[in-house]
Amino acid sequence: MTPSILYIACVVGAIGLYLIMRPHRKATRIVGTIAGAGAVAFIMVKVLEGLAADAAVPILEVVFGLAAIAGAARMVTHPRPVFAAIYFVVVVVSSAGMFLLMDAEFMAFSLIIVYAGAILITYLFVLMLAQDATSTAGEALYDRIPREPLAALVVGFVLLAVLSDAFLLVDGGVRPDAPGMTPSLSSVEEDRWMVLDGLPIQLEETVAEILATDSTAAAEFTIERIDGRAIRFDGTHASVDVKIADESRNLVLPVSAMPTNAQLVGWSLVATFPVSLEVAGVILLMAMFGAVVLARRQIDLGEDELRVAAGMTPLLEDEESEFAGGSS
Amino acid sequence: MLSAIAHTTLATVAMAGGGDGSHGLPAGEPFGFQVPIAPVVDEQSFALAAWMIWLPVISAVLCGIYAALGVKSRLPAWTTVAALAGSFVIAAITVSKLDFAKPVVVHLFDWIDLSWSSGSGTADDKWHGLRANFALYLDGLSAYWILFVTFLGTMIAFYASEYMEEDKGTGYCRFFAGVSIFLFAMTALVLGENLIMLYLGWEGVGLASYLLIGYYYKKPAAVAAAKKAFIMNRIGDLGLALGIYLIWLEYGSLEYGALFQALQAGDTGAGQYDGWAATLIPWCLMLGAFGKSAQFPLYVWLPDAMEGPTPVSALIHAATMVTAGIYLIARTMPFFLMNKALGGHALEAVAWIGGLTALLAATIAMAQYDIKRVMAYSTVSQLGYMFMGLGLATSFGACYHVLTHAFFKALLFLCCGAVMHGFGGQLDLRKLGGIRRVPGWGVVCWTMLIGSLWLSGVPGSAGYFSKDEILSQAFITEGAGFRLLGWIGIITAGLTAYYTFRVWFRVFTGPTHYKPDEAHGHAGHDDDHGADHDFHPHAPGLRINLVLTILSLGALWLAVGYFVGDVWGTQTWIKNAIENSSAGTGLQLMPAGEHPTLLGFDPHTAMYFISGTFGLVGLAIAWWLHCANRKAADDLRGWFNGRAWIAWLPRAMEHKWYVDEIYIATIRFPLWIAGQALYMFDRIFVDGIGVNGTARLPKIAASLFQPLYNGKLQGYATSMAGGLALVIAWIVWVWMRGSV
Amino acid sequence: MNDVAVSLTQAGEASTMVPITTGTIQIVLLVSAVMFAIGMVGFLTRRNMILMFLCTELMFQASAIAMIAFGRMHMNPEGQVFVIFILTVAAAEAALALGLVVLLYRRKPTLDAEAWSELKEC
Repeated sequence: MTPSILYIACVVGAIGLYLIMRPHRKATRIVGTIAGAGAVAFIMVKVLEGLAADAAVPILEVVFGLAAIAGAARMVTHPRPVFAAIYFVVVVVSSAGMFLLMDAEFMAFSLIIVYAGAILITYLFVLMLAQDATSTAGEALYDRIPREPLAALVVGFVLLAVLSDAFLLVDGGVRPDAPGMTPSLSSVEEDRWMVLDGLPIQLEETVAEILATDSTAAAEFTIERIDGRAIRFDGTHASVDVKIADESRNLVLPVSAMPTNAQLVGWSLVATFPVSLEVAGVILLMAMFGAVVLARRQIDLGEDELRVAAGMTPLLEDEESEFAGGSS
Repeated sequence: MLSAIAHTTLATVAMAGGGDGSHGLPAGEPFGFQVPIAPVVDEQSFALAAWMIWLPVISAVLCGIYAALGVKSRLPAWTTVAALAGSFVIAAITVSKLDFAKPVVVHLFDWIDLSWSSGSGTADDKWHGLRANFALYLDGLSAYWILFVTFLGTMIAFYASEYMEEDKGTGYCRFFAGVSIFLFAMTALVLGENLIMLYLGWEGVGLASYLLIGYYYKKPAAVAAAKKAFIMNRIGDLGLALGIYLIWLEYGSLEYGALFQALQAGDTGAGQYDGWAATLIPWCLMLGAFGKSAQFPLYVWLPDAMEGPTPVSALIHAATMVTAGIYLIARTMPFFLMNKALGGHALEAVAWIGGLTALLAATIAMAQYDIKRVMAYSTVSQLGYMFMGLGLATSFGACYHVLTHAFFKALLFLCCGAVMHGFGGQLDLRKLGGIRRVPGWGVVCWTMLIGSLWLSGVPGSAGYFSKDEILSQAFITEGAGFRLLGWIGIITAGLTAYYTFRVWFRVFTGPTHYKPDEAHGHAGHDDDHGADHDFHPHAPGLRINLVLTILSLGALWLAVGYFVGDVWGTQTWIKNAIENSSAGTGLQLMPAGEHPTLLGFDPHTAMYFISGTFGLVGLAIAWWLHCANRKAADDLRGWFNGRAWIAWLPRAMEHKWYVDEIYIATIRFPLWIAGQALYMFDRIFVDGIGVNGTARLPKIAASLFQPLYNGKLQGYATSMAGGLALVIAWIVWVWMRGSV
Repeated sequence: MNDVAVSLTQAGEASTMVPITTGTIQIVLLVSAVMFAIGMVGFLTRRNMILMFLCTELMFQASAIAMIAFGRMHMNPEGQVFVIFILTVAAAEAALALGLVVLLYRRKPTLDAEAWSELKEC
């Protein structure tokens, strides 16, 4: 694939999105949908053509990706805000699917819960609160007519062109099989086992579980630590030195004892990014305060009342203030 | 070397004479100036003389204080009159003590004293410094001049105390402060001991003239006239400044005593620098004199200067300031004589320009209707006579004419002012007539008749004697076409008589009719007379009549004094004063009977008859056309207008020979074109391309992006996202891929 | 030291972890880029303030996908940690932005963003 093909596909996609945006033109919407979907599909096919012969075809990623793109396109073009919100749910679910495919099951489900469950419901509530009273059909004029679509499309798709160029073409694109791009599996495994080293209770439970299958072993044991580290990793297997009744034994840990994805995320969160975690908490707290303040009932003050509220002396006498406007 | 040659030349002229006439000087006559004597520094006997110059200064300061205090009385006038009268009395006392053969220097204070070498004083070390003390130089010329300047100043200030009555208050103070400043400057000009002081006074009188011409500063014509006078004088003053500079460069000194002694010794000033400067000096001084004294081609400001109050016209623009040019040339006459001795023609140029200006201005004056303008052109014409006299080397004639002219022209102006004052600003002689019979105007009528007779030069008047001194000299002094010049002067005398009496007969005789000037009410001068039908002229008061009477008596006395002196064959006091000063040429002292002849007679004698005849003929024509048979004047005008070959003549005369228009076409218009061209260059290239063009570049660049910033949230978001896209594009295409 | 292998399942069994394939990550990143671009286009073209914020959520979503994909590629959990932060910011933004929208809607009964352009100078 050459850059020109990619750029032409971007242009076609932009034209497709433009056609979908045209209000009340079903035919053009169909043409636009075909053009946009064709462009995306064409690029995806081109990407897959470049795969190694023995590599598995990522069918599910393609399916979820197309669903997400379709939902996104429909979301930004649908004239009815509620439907747009619903289409965003499609995007969220598809994204969650892609998260799952990429071994991020914790984030996939929290995405569903937080986005689809909480944020989107908030949006829907606000949409209900602020629905335009003049649009009885549920379609306000300003929802149907896009604002300067050409400029927006040019900007957006130039960005898309350079982004996809960077992802797919520059130096062969983003390639995990390129030298140095992906760490070796053993080092990844070592990192994971080391996380278990930081979880002593779990380690003890794991060891107790292993020892429980061995009737010869006594129930009392201590895990030996050298330089504070208990787990030894020889490149393929992880083992623990355990002292049972003054007798040292080397226990090889099973793969199932390796920390799970959620555990890794949690460990990373508290061990690697503790300050960021605190900051995130402060952000949420402040957002809550802000939302509470904004949602309070607003009071319109008169000019003199504003002066008083600002600490200045009022200009008018009490009986005059009735005529000076400003009611609470 | 050159000095030696010049000295030899001078000596040849002065002693041996030389029948070859190569210098155009009469053979065998004593030539040179009469003041070889070093000035005596005397501060004891002449200590009082300093007050001549300080009294006007005190008066000017007091008038300024009055203005600040808001004085509404006649106090400024009396202060000025008292100060000027004091000056006159002191001048009289000083002159009475003065021996004309012994110039006196009265040192007031050190003013400019620069020196940059030891100043051994030898001839090779003349340029060791520049010294100009604030000192008075009292000799015949300056004594003569200061007497009539202070006398006329006193008289005219007295006159103005009534004339300016309507402006009592700030304007009154301003007027008399201006007069005092003028008198101070004029005193410094006349009495100054060096050319720097003369220059100080020269510029001072120019300033006072500017201030007083523009006295009615709300009147656009007055402002324009003031500017015109100032600018025209700039041209002349440039010449004077250059002349003074060249004199210093050539002689190393600007003090009269040192200069005259050097010139007497035959120093051409050519020792250190090129000798041409010695011949150039008179031309530069001449330019200055022509500017100040309104000679061709720099005369056009003087008629316009009549926009000022009439006392100003009388004092500054007729009697005193405009004679400063005469004074300058008379004072620096040794330079002109040196120029002549070296073969130069400066004196001849002075004579010819003076004579031609006299004729030109007289022809213009014949066709004017504004009586003050007639008088203004008459002043130009008479000043031309004076320059003619200077050029003909009769300093006595020129200076005597200055005096007589100062009296009768001041008188005439003051009479015109009285008429203007009394008749609602009316100056058009077509709208005035028969004023003689209006009650209360007798003094004005008869004093103006004296002034007119004196100006016309009818036999027996002072103007007759002083003019004849000049005209007869034209037939005595040998020079380029001087006899022709004499005849031009004689014809001009006839014209003068005609136009002078044209005014007098038109205004004072014939049927009585008058009406005020409609535009005059805007001048801020008068008056509550209202419309024509109930207009009543108010006759001049005691002070105006008194001044007019005194001036006419002075004019009469001038005539009588000369007549007596001439009859008795003695040299008059004036001749004595002039010929013993630096203005003396020696020609006046030559014994009678050795002159060339005119029509077979001695020129002095012949001229009495010739110019008297011309004056009387002019008077008679004026009487016939403007008094006895006014229809004849209309017929004559009709005769002129009816014939194409001659119709241009009266029209051109009435339009002042289109000199102003020629100036506009030849000087102002080209300058205007050049100014416009430079202005357009400035507008298009400097401002347009240079400054605004530079400023417009960012504006153009900004206008490309301006639509993005339309106040809409998403507009800003669009440009932000576009910028982000471009940054990423740059990263991807240039950094990561290496090329686009 | 006795080398005794005891495990619940099969001790020493190799890990199931495999590197992500090039095609997969490229597909996922492409989807992320397309979603981001569409979200931006939506933000710039929609006039409804609520939907504009929804489009920013879409852009958050796209970047979250990219985070997850890169985390998967490098086989570490930090990509997912950043997604947690993205979720935090998105939630905070939703709370504040929607509160503001409700507030603005009380002032002027419209959701059109162009109704709020008092800051423009001409």
